[in-house]
Amino acid sequence: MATARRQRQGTTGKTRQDSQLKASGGNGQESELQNIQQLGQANVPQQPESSIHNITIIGQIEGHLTLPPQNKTTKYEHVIPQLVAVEQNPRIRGLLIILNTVGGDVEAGLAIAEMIDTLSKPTVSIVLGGGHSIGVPVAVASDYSFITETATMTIHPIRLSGLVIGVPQTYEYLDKMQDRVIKFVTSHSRITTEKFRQLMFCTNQLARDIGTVLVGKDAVEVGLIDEVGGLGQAIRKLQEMIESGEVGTY
Amino acid sequence: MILYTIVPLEIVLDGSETYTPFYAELPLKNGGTLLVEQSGLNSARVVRLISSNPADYLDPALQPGSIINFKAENQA
Repeated sequence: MATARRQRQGTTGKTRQDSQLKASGGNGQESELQNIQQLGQANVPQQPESSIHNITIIGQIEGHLTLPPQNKTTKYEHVIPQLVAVEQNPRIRGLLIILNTVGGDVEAGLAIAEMIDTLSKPTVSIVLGGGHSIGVPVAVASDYSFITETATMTIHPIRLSGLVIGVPQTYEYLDKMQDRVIKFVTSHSRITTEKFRQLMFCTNQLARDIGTVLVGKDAVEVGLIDEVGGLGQAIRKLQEMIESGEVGTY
Repeated sequence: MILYTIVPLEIVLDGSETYTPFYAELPLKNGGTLLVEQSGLNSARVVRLISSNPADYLDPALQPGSIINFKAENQA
């Protein structure tokens, strides 16, 4: 078929077409071409067989509503079965969670956090860039958490959104939702409920909102995150935990 | 549903009223279903995997965003 296509072609652009045919010829080359299209890079580093599984939580954590395409999303219906696979796959001995999220659905975020928390294998999380809003419980759900020096975490109240009826019950309901998040965060990190609430309702930090932005070591100082560090430290910590035979604590 | 995010709701939900994606279902060999979206004349992009086998979720070829190329096959 390839020769037939080549014969039908004129002389112009022949070489280009030839190289395209060649590029999609071999299986490895085909995937390389796809990598360039999808990821903007030629090759993803290969490693023989890793005992660490890595899950990235990026963009919006998508819940019960499919978000329009301008959002980059983490689909919880994919992350949850992946966590099940990590738990029961004997070759995977540790889990690394990388966060760069702006928040998202409360239910979906808490669901992922609970799954990470109850995983019986060692888990380490790194907050890179940002771990805001519902990303906070996901970050603290791991056995040990890292934040890079420049990464930020925004703690703010859950806002009213969508169809709101201004009755006291609405506030009661939102308060309950907020309590779920506060309870999870305070029971999985060193931060106290009083301190977390104080950060959440701080009025002199954000321009158009109430809340607090924690940059790198601030998050460690308030007791939310365990340590300032990056990829190297996180992998080393995870390997240490695996080697010492530590099982995930919850 | 409650969104807890730093991104303003207008930006997150912008275009949600006109967003009508067209998905097709492809059956998988071992019983699962793959929800795909057409991405070209002979390819589709994976949107969602529906399977009861957790190992399927670790398969890179079935991750959301990966491209499936259609190929003609001789039935003879």
